[in-house]
Amino acid sequence: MVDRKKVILRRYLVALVLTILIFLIGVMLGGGIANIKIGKLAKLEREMKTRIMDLELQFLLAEEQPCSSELPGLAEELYQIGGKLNYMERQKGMDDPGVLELKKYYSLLQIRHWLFLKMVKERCKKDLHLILYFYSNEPKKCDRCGDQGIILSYLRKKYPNVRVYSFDVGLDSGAIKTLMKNFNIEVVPTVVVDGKVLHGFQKKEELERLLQGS
Amino acid sequence: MIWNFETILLCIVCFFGLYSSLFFLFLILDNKERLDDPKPKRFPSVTTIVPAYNEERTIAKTLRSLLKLDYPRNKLKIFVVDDGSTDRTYEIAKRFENANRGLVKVFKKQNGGKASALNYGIKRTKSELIVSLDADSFVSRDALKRMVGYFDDPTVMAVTPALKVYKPKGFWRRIQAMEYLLGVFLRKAFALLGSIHVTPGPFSAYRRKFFERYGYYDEGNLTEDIEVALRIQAKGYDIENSIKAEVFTVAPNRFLPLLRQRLRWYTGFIVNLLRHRSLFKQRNNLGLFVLPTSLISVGLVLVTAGFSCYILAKSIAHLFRSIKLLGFLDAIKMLKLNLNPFYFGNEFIIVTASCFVLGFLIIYSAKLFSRERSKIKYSYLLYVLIYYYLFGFWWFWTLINKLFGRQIKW
Repeated sequence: MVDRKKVILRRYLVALVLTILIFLIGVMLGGGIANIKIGKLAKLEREMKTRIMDLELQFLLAEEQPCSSELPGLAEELYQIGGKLNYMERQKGMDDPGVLELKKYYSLLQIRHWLFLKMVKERCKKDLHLILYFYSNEPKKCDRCGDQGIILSYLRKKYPNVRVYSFDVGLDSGAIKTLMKNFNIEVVPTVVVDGKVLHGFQKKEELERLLQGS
Repeated sequence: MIWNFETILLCIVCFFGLYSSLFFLFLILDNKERLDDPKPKRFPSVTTIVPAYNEERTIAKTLRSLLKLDYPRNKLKIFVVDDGSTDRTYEIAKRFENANRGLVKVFKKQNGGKASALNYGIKRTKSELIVSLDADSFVSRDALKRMVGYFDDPTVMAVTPALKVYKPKGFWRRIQAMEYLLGVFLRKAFALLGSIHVTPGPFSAYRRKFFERYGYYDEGNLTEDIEVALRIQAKGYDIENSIKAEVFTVAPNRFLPLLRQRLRWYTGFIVNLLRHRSLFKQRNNLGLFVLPTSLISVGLVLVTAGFSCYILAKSIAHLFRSIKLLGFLDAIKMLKLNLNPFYFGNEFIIVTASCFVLGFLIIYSAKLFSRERSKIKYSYLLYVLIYYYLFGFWWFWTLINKLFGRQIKW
């Protein structure tokens, strides 16, 4: 006859110790994977910097016919980095120092790309529309930023000659601050279409009219 | 890592899932020698009672499987209690009685529910053991022989078999087949802990003297099988399990009948647990671990499934927002599935994956120890993807019904 009902503490403890072990190792490995992703993103950004610089220099160095018929590239790659950054921000939190650092760097890359395209546009008379988008990730500060983001991603997908650069106004970056000062940005969302500042939420139709009208 | 509701919930669910899986796996592997059924010292007399209400379609097959049982004929009796059927159940059963005089006996009574039919049969036999068998279930040849050995231990009042789904084809039955297989594993684990708290309708065996001493099946009860199991536990007796005594039952193959079945089971579980709540005070495996664990897991599944629905609702709201902003066609065009591995998984991915692997190991060992022949790979995948939400939904529906006082009928 066996006493089946009797609590044998050892059984419960062995499973508990093993659970804690697997759990800790698992969470540590999982965190490691997240860190690998952050590292990958940092590498992507560094590569991006070189590529943008390369593009700029190619343009500046070419003495004859710097204006090719194609539109200058790297915009899609920049968006992709932006998308990954957004994802990491949701995963690790907005205050994660690693994510913040990458975001700042990304903003600088965007400004640089924007400046370059502005130059190309002016010198080569390209039919390009450059949109700057100032937003905040904190829903309390900006309840329509999400909507504005949806509309802008739609526009850049629909019109191949539209480039959108988005900046988090909460980022502690001198370059962004200067940019905001230049355009008198006081509210979020603010959209700047080819230098024209539009304060507050902008509807899809209004933006499309602007893009097609000019 | 961000500590919000989502990550904390995931943390708790993963920890709980890991712990219970590891505990039960170790328990089974540690007691492998107890997985084999004891050789019976003698063959006690057995009456199998088949309560039947409008079962003309399956009763013949049920009786044929009983007639094939490998058990001394002078020790076996098969009672069919026709609970006021309006179809041909009685006629068909009578044919079996005529062909097997002395072995099969058919009774007809006014409709009064399954428990009353079982009691009707119990009161008309002097056999040492009573085995109930629903008229939609079939037994394997050696099932009874495997089970009776456990009764050599005088503290054992009931023995349960390994209950499986009959012909698990189709979506709903495949999912249930996995659920039942997991049940096969858990029931054995519970038996090792002296903590079985359900003796399922199909082919559970009881000592007749338990009914005489502590009362018969509760006739008003939604789940008389849960009630009697909890009562056996409350009286301090044991319930054993044979993991190799296979019994097959016809499972619902559509959503609504399945929902109705679960509503009855889960409501019955709550009602009977409340009735026998003194079990929580027992300082043994059942009171301290098994019952609390089952309640906690129901709670966790409810919260997690609810939370997933909230996330789903949020994405749907986002889609509607896009439609409002962009128009229907453009919003649909913007939808795309991102398959880049960068966007896959979070900090808990390894822990979650270990839970799935352990779950598979549990089902696999259930298959191994219970001699299950069917393949489980794809069914397990289906089970993992769907079952959690189904289980959550069934419990949610049960609680809603309970809260708003709706009557659940048999």
